[in-house]
Amino acid sequence: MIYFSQLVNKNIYFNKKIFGKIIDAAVFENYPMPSLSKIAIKKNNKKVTITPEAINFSHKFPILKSAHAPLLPFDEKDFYLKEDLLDKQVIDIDGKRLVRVNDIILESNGELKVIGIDIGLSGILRRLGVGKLAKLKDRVLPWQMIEAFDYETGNIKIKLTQNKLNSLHPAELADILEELGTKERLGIIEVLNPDTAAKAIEEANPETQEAILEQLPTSPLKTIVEKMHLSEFADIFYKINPLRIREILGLLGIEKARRVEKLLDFGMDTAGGIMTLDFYTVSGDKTAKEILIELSNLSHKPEAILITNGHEKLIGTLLTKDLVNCDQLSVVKDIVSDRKFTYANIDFSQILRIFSQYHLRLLPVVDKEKKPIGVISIDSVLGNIEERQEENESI
Amino acid sequence: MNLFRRHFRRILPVLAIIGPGIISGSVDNDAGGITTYSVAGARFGYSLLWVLFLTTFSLAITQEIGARMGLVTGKGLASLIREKFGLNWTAIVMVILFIANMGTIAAEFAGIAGALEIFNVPRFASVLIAITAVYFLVTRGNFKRLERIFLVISFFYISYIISAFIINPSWGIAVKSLVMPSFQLNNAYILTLMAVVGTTITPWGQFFIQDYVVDKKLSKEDLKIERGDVFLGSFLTNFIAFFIVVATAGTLFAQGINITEAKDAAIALKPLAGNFAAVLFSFGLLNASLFGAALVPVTTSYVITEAFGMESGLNFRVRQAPYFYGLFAFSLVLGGLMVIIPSFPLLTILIVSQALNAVLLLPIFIFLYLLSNDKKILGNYVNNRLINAVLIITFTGVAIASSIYLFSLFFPKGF
Repeated sequence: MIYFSQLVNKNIYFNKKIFGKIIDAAVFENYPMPSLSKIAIKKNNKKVTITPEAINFSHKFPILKSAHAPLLPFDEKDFYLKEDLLDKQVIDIDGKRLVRVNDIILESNGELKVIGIDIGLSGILRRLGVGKLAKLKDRVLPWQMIEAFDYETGNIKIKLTQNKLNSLHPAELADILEELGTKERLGIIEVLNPDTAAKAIEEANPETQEAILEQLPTSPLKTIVEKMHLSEFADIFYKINPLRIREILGLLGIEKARRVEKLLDFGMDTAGGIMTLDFYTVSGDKTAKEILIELSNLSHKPEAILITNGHEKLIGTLLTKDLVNCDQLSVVKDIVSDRKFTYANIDFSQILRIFSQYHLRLLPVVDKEKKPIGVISIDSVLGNIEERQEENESI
Repeated sequence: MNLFRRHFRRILPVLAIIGPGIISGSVDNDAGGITTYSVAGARFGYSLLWVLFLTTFSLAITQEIGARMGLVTGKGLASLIREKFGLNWTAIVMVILFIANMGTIAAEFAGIAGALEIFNVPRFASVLIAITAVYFLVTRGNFKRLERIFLVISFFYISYIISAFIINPSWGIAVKSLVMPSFQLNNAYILTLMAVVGTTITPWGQFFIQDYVVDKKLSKEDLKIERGDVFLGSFLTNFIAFFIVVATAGTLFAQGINITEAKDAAIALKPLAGNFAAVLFSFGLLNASLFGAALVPVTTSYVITEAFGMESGLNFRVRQAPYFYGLFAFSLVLGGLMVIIPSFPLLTILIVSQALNAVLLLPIFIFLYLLSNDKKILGNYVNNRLINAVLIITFTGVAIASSIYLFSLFFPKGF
């Protein structure tokens, strides 16, 4: 086991004379662990690279095996351990958080491979030359469990673990997005699949949502905004650059843009402000069986459906689980789970009371003619409470 | 009605962006600030006002750099130093920051002790109570609410402005002193001069503004408004400082009274408050010192633990972030204990700690200069020539003053 920090800045010797100084090492992305592909050295004040096979690392100091080893030009595009990884932040996939790389652990087994990173205090003390002060256990993350960024562009550089990033829960991704630097944040969004990215953005705090939507390039922006709930745009409408919001509305298309506009007319603390526009209505004269067939054609099954009469006026809510369990031949307007509803201008505190009093999962919002215009789910109620709490915290 | 509401909400984002600069600026007028400006006015009249005038620009520029780097990168100053210069340099900067901040924390407790000494509360009692109170306010209380209370009480500074107008000094000379540099070659003058610089521009303020901007997730689009915010904050800080100097110069300096204790400084408020001057002053100093005593240790611990990649922040529990809370408690207690040593004059702690901040600013400036001119980090948002010029001139000025002061310590008879 070799610590990368003990390799870097060391002189390479040849015939007992200094040949050059190791300044960095590039890695080759092979599975499951990357191997060192080039050693960057400074020779006569010039940066060059050399293949690791030409150097013998098993001595006290590195020795060049042969004078004929070819020196290659330094390529900025490679992934370098010091430039791009050491002292930088990486994502700990397993722990679902950001960590800082205090040292890099290499293994010499014929060739040099990166096996993991040290994120503990012991790595810091060792590098500062006071490692013997305190006996601490190394905190090591295996290479397969991290996701690193390119220092200059913020792009995700090692593509091997990309799928693991997509497997994180959107809420966990949101926490990571909130902590990251600007470039890295956009770098992640661009490699996530659009569904996950949209959900992660929705879960993030409003400040982070604004930062992402303001700075994302147009092509990923389009696929992501199409997957997001319209009410999210209403929430941050006035906080982001007017030109950008116009662009986003353009990407959504006229139909959706109108619905966002409609949401804006309601205050943030009212039923209209927290409702979502995605709901499913059926006519009350249909039978349970007919509706179940209708639902089976949908890719995304709603948790509940709104039942309306012939004039599109709300009769009540029917939870999907009740629909499954009832007599399949009954007409749905007779078996609604709940008949409660609210208006768009009702205050959030009242909504909260209705939800807790009647143990609701969903509450329809209707206009003056009792036509449904949106629904409030228990999730958006909880989300709203959480946001209020966060407003009172800091640092 | 909708129209009105829409217009109103258009203004909200501006209000959200305004804040970091103003808060960072108000905190500058903490215990060290009030004392330094009072001493400057009482001992040297208007003759340090030109320093105040110049540091306004330095403060505005350095705060703008911090805000801009935070906006563009989304990372704090410590993170940028760690990623660009590696662990060894980071460790050095953190040691410097820790020393400077310990001085500032000690100054805050000296302010608390001084304010309560007016009511004959013994020093060890006031400091011990303050340490306990601050620890629980920060770990158990609500920081945002604390911040708001502090900002409201900051209106206390208006009493200096009113006091200055009641005295009705020769405004012409005061304003002229702002732009006409004068210089006295003696130990005390140079020390006070450095304290004026060091209480205005501080290492911790530099880390604070950048972290604050990062925390608010402001982006490049907000840069114009944020610039306005830091410029306004810098102006307000020194606008108030100007009136503190004028009020003390018009009272203490005019009557030839030297400040040796906090209650002497209260005389500057007599024209406004009469016999209540001491109470008013004590109240204002206590508020500023308490808030500083809470904010500076938290920032210290936050920056240092973050630089070394440990769990950091008040949203963690003590068990989740032991180093963060440990360092917070340690700096709080150490800063407080320095003040308890009975023979230590509070005034010396207050002034010397501010001058120390000015000296320790020099290495921080070097990193600030290198980072804010790095195209790899900031792209097109690197410093322009004017900003670099102000930064270099400030650095040179502080360096010269520090050298002269060191020289004067070794050869006191030469002056």
